[in-house]
Amino acid sequence: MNAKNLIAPIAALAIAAAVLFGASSALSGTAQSREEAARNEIMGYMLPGRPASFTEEPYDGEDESIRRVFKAEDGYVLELETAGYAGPMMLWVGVTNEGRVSGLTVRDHGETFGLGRGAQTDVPFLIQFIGTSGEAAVGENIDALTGATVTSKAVARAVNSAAAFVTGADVSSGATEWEG
Amino acid sequence: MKHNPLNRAALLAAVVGLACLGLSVGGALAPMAILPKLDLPLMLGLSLIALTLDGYLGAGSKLSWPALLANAALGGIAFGLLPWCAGAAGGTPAWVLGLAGGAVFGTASLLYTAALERIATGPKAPLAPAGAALMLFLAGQCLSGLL
Repeated sequence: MNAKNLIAPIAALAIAAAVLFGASSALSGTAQSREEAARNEIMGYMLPGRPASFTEEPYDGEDESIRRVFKAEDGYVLELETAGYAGPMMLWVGVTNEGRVSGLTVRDHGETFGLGRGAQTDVPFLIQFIGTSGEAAVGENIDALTGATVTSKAVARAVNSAAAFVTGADVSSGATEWEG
Repeated sequence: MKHNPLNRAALLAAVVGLACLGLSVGGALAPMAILPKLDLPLMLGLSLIALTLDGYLGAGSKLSWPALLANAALGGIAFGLLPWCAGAAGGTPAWVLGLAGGAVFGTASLLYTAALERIATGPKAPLAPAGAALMLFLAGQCLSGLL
C-alpha cells in the first residue's frame, strides 16, 4: 500500500461530501415548507375544529420537558421531550383552551420493540389520555402498557405537563415519576 | 491493473453518500415519514454493500493489516462526515458516528475478508461475496438485538 492508493477514497469522500452539502442546501427551503405543512396537518387533527394554521409561541417556563408551543384558536399543541425507558421520547400533545387533552401522538422514541414501542401504536393505551386535564396517573386512571411501566409513566408525565401548561397546575406525583 | 487495497473505502464513501442523499431527499419531500436512523445495523448494512461490491470488483485480492486499518479509518471519516453534510446525522455528533462507523466498517471488513478467504469464490461461485455479506448482516442483526 502506498500514498497513491489514498487518492481514490479521498476523492470519493470529497465528491460525495460536496454533492451532499449542495443537495442539502438546495433542499433546505423545500424541507422547511413541507415540514411546516405536514406538521400543521397532523396537529390539525389534535384539536377540535381541525385548525389549519398554528402560530409558534416562545416558551420560557420552568417545565424542561416542553420544547415548543404552537397555538391555534381553540387550544395548543405542545412538543414535549420526556425520558422514556430507553432514551428520550418526543411527543405532541393537543390541549384545548379549557385544559383538556384532545390529541396525543408519540413522534419519536427508542423504546423496546414489543413493549414500550406500543406507546406509539397502542390505541387503547393512548386513548385513555384523551379528556384528561392533568390528572393522568398510571395505576389509577391509566392502565400501563404491558411490561412498559416506565414508558407509560413517561407518556403520562408529558401529557400532564402539557395540560399543566394551560391550566397552570402542579402535576408532579408518584403516579408519573419513575423512582426505580 | 493492480487492485487498490483502499477501494473498499472509496466504495463505502459512494454507498454511504447515496444512502445519505436518499435520507436527505426523503426527509425534504416527506418530512413526517419515519426514515431509518443511522444506527449500528444500518452502518453494518451499508458497510457490507460496499464490501460486496469490492468482493466482485476485486475478487481474490487479499488485504494486509495496514490496509484494513486504513480502510477502517477512512470508513470512520465517511460515516462521520457524509451524514453531517447531508443533515442526516439526527443530532448525533459527527465524531460519535465516525468512531462507531469506523469500528463497524473495520470489523465487518476484517470478518468479510476472513470469510472470503475461506470459501470458494470466483466465476464458479458467483454468489459467494453476496452470500458471505448476507450471513454477516444476519449475525450483526442478532448481535445488535442482544446489545
